[in-house]
Amino acid sequence: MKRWGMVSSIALVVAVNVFVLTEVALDRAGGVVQRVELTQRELPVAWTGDDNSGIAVRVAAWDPQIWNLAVLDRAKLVELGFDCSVPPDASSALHHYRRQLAREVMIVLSQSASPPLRAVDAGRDYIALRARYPDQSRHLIVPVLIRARIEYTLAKAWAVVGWYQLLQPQIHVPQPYAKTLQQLRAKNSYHLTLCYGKRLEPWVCGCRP
Amino acid sequence: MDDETLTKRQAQERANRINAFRAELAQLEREGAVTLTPEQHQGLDEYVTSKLAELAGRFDVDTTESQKQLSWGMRIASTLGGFALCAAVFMFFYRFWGALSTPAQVAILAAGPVGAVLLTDFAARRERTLYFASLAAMVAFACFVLDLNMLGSIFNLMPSPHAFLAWGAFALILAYAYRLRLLLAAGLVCMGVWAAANFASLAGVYWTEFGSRAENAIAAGLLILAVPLVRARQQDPEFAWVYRIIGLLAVMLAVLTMAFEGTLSYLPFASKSVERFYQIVGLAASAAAIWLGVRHNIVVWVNTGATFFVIFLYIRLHVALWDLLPKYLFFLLIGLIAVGLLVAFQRIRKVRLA
Repeated sequence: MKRWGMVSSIALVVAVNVFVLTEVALDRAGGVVQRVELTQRELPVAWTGDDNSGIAVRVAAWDPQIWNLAVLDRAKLVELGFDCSVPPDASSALHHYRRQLAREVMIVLSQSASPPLRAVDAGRDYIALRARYPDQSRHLIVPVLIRARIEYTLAKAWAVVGWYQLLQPQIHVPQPYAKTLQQLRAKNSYHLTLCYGKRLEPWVCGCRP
Repeated sequence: MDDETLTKRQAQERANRINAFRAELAQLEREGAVTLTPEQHQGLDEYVTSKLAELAGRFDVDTTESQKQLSWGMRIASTLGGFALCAAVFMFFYRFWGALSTPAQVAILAAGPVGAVLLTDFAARRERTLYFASLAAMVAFACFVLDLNMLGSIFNLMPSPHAFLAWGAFALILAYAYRLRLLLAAGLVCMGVWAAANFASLAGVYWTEFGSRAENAIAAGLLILAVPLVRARQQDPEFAWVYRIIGLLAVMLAVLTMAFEGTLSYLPFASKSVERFYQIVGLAASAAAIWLGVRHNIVVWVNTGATFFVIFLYIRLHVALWDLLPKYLFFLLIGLIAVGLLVAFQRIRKVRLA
């Protein structure tokens, strides 16, 4: 029983690692679906802890001071499949929208003053979104989770808005780019090139001043 | 049952019975209820001593009270040591991995759990009490968790519930191969999370949000509880205990969560109605756990059921009466109900004894 257990557990470790690495290799070999170069504004170095020697960058797509109502408003949420039939100022609105489950969709991020990467559109299909925003150098499409909530706006009215949460808020920077990034980080000026495969899992494929 | 087919647990029970018999015989002799001749005494002493020595030699069981206390100490040291080593593995890797190339990182991550499994096997063959094997197995599990977590970070992979399936299967294999209950518990928790995430996906919930609908945990808990029922004959009683406690806790904690927060339920009703419903379900489920535990002699269900029964009863009474009664009357009522429960349990105990 012990020998069987040892062999099975080792075989499981090897099989799972091989499977994961094969999936990664196939995704990256299948061609780059989108490639974009961003600066230290859009991809600041993330804090990963004092004891962590790995380096990652944070996708700066969220500003707590500003809600992007123009993009993820009620109409857009209905298009994404949310039930927005209850008026936001109704007494049951808070309960109704809190109960709604988060949905996985794509958002289109574009460079802006604040936040550095601002959501300009959202949809369920990457190809349809890319057809609307073909310029890869200006528009990055990433998967997110969206929730419907009600907010009291600056216009002094309740509104239904969408909160989004990036599924990959941080991107690991491997060697040798990590070494280059550490050197450029001191001047706080760098360009990082991100590549995405069909599964929209990014990898760093360039780093320059 | 002859000694050739004994397990370690059965051998320990035999040793406990022998020691209890010795102590009771001495008491009966002091009270004059039985008298043995010196030859009978000597023969009995020799037989009992040699039997205990044989059990200790073959199964490494505890034959004295001080040995039992030392064994408890070793179990605690093994468990705490295991947790500390797991944390050390994580921290050590985080400290140095950034300077390594990706192939080196991947190789070290894969080698970690493999090496720890080999160490577990080595320790299990050298030492029958399995304290060191248990420690090494915990480290192996931690290494595998680190392995898949770090692969996800290195390659920026989308989060997947199937990592829990891999971790759960790994822990279960080690648990059954080396008879390790802590690994079994870890494996069941991982499998439970994977099952709950899949139930959520089937219901249209993104898997990381499975906690936003607590019924997913109830379904997973019921699956875990079903295993000892399906495999009743093959199941080791000590392993069955782990399935029962993990499954029951999953179910009861999920019900308790919805008893407080009705929005975390699939039920399409007002939050307060859902909370009331699950408060009553909680009372019924914990009463059922007590009844089944008494009927089938499953102590863990009786104790766990009784604990949750008190919790749900308090919640229900608080919701119904807190604003209606003066505070002293409310707590007096709680106290009287507790006394009533004591009387009821005492009656059940007498009936069982009879």
